[in-house]
Amino acid sequence: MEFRSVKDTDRKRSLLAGIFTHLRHFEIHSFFCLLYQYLSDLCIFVVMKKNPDLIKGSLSTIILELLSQSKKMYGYEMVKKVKEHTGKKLQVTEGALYPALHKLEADGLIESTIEQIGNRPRKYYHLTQPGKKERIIRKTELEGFVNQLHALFNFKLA
Amino acid sequence: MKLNDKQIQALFDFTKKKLVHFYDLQIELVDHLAASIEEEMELDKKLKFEDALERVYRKFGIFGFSQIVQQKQKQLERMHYKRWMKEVFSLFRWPQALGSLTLLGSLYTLDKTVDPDYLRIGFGVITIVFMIFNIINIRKYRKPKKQLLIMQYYFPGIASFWSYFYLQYLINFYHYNSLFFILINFVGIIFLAASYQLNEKLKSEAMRLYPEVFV
Repeated sequence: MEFRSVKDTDRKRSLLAGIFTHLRHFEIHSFFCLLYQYLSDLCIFVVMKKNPDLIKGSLSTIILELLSQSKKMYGYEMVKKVKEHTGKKLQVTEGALYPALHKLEADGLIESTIEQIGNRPRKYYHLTQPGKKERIIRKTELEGFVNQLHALFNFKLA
Repeated sequence: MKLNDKQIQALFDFTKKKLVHFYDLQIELVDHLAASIEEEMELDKKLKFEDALERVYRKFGIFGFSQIVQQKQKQLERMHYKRWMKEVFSLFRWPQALGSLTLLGSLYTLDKTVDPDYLRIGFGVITIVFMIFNIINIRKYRKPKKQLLIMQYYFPGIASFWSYFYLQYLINFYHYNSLFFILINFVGIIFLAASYQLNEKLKSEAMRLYPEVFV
């Protein structure tokens, strides 16, 4: 992630340098082309910065949605629920689930409690108030994104 | 089929073998492994515990638990830093702002009334005592019977860094400057107070979640 952001700034810098060179030589047409390229790149950069999860995947949105459906859940239960709901088509890997859960917890969107179940302690997660709000925002964003993709693919096929 | 106590202990040992030394993470992973193994053994009655464990562990990918531990540490560092900043800001809100103002006033009075050399020696001694206390505290809380990841940040590095910086100031700055004296002490004490408040909260959180560690 950090590497990518460094690369992005480098790219922006080189684009800016290009713009100023063209300004010096009064090549108005190519200057506008470059400006357009720069602005579109900047838009993508802003969108990615604003919502990197949309690009990387929607695991955190899935977790928030699952937690909103039941009061509290533990890690393995989430893996099982996703498998059940999607008919084993979508599988959440353990290696990705726990880092996502810990990130959401660090962001204050979910909280955990420990309960003794049989002969072992179990960590349950539940949504916090900011988490409930964030779930609605992320769900709307994801739905919008899917609709846009849908419209785009339909357009290309026609 | 439910796993027995011996098998659960074997799972805790397994996580330790895979370099997960923190009890708060072990709990989560052991429960996941146990639930997964129970399901595997339910489906295949002849499956042995060890084989089921191997099968389940494979689901964690080539990095195993290491990636989870690393990510957790990273997230906790980020979370603690955010919370520490909140504590710093809280010291400037009513009613705690009253304490901060009193501190500023006392430092100003000290600067005006006490000889600079005495001030330097006095604060130097306090800093050294604090550093020793800090080292003892870190040792005490970083090595409980069961290590907790949440307690790894007990007394954040900023406290040690500040003491070191302050000692450097005492050694190197021969020309006494009132403004510098007041500012350096005010900021330092505010940072330490914020660290102390955060540490107390972390400790009470850890005691609430994992009381068995503190017995």
